[in-house]
Amino acid sequence: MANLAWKNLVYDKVRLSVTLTGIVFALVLVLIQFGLFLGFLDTTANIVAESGADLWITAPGIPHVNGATPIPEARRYKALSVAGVERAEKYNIQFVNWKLPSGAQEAVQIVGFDLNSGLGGPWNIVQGSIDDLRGEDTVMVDELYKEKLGVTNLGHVAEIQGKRARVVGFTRAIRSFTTSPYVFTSFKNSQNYTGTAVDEMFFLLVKAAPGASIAAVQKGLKATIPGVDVYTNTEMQKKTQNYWLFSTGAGVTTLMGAALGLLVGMVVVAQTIYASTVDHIREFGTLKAMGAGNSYVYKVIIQQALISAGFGYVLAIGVGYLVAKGSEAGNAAILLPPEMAVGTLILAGIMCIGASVISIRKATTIDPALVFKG
Amino acid sequence: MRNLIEIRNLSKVYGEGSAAVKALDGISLDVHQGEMIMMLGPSGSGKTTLLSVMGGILRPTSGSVKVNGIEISNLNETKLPKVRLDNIGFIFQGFNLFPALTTLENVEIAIELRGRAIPKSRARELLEAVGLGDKLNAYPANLSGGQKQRVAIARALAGNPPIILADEPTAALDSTSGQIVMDLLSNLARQQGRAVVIVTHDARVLHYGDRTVHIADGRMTDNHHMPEAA
Repeated sequence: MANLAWKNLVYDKVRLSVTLTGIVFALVLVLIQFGLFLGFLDTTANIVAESGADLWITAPGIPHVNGATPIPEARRYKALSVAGVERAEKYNIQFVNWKLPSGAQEAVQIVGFDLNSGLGGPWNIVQGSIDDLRGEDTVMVDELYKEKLGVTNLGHVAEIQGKRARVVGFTRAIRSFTTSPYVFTSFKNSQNYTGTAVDEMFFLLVKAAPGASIAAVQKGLKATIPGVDVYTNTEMQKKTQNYWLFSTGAGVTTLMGAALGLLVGMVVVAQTIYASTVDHIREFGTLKAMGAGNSYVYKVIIQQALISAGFGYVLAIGVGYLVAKGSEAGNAAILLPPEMAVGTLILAGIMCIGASVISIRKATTIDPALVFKG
Repeated sequence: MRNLIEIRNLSKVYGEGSAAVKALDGISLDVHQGEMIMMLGPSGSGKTTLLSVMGGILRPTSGSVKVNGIEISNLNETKLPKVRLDNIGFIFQGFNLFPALTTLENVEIAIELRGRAIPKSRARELLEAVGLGDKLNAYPANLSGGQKQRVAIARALAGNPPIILADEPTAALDSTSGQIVMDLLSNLARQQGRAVVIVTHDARVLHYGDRTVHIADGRMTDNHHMPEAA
């Protein structure tokens, strides 16, 4: 039986190519649309996800991590007094202007973090180190934004808010969802660039003591510090992601794109498998006339669908991987995590079996006119 | 001789109401073991519909159809395949071979449908019996029309069915190939005792039959034995 399904498929290579093209197109569409969606989610909250903090203390009611307002430094001492708090470090994220070599201004987001703990600092450092940021007026930017910021090499000197900034390191693939790149520097330097008061900061990043319950520490911080919100790292990620996802056109568009990609993919696969089944309809009718039961015909059709799905999947993953790899150098990230590869395999199987089931009724009803007349 | 097919007062209507078309109207017919019947009639007269009903592919609107003693007119779709599998071998005008399978595999698949009841080696024996022992690994696309029809005959015999239903088996063949195919079908009736029903327009092969049945406008207009069998 597997022999018939397999031989039916490979016998007509043109038809097989058309079938596989349809499935690969559909799966690549799904992979890229969902990859863009995952890339979107990742980009909106990467600064939170990679911060290493367990808890975030912010001014009340901030909409997302890029929209904070200052809180007094005194909150830090209260935080440190709460049981289970190992560290509470000052942290800034604030929009400022970066002066390009042409004299034009480009908005960037200064990220000021504690150099000793590294909480909220850069990751994927490819040139320079955290220690290089100990120097006065030193910053680190991402390779993706070199051209945008007019940065050519390490040691490049620019101006932030009219103050000197020397590039001492580069990171790789730290994207900003806003059009303003992240520029990492020490907390002290960030105060200088943003002009915030010396006794203020935008966030407190809390690291819980080993073994301490994050929920208990969060509860303790809320009870101890007045006039602040306290979020777990996950809560801050979700808050930021949900804001950009549901409160902006870009988010809704990406979400719709992923949903539409899934829908179009399903329709294309359904049509492709249906056409492939209908192409063999006379053979299935002959099988039935020969005495094959419906279950036998179902199995041949489903095997054909699964074989098509398997080949289509392998090709689609290859194409998807190349596209995702190519996107690493671009502004829009397309993520293809292993979970998505597994999910797409399951999806491909379900779509192909589902589509074949649609065509099964046609294949299990013998049309005498089709079977008897050549 | 035992009746292998018994049809009584059979009618088949397509469509409903004012769009209804009566394809078969009050047909009664017996087909005996070892008998070869030639079914004649103009296009659209109902021959293929009658063959389909005999083979359990179409359900009649009214009347009775017994195949090897089994009433199939009201048999449900889960039981009909077994009746076909055990009792009927079909031969089609367009051969209906699986183009992706070799000659041998085309016959083996008919054996595979019967589980392990029949050894696969029977496929080779059947093909040798129809003179295609040297074409076991050929694909249908590389066979002549006559050779394809002989493969189809071998396939129809895979389950050793007592009844063979053939729809215009020589229509696509030249006279030499047609004669070879008819000789094989004739042997199935005369030497092997099967009931063979052949729908045909081909006047060259009428003399092979024991009996001719004429169908016109869904009715049986003539049913007589040939003066002498070929």
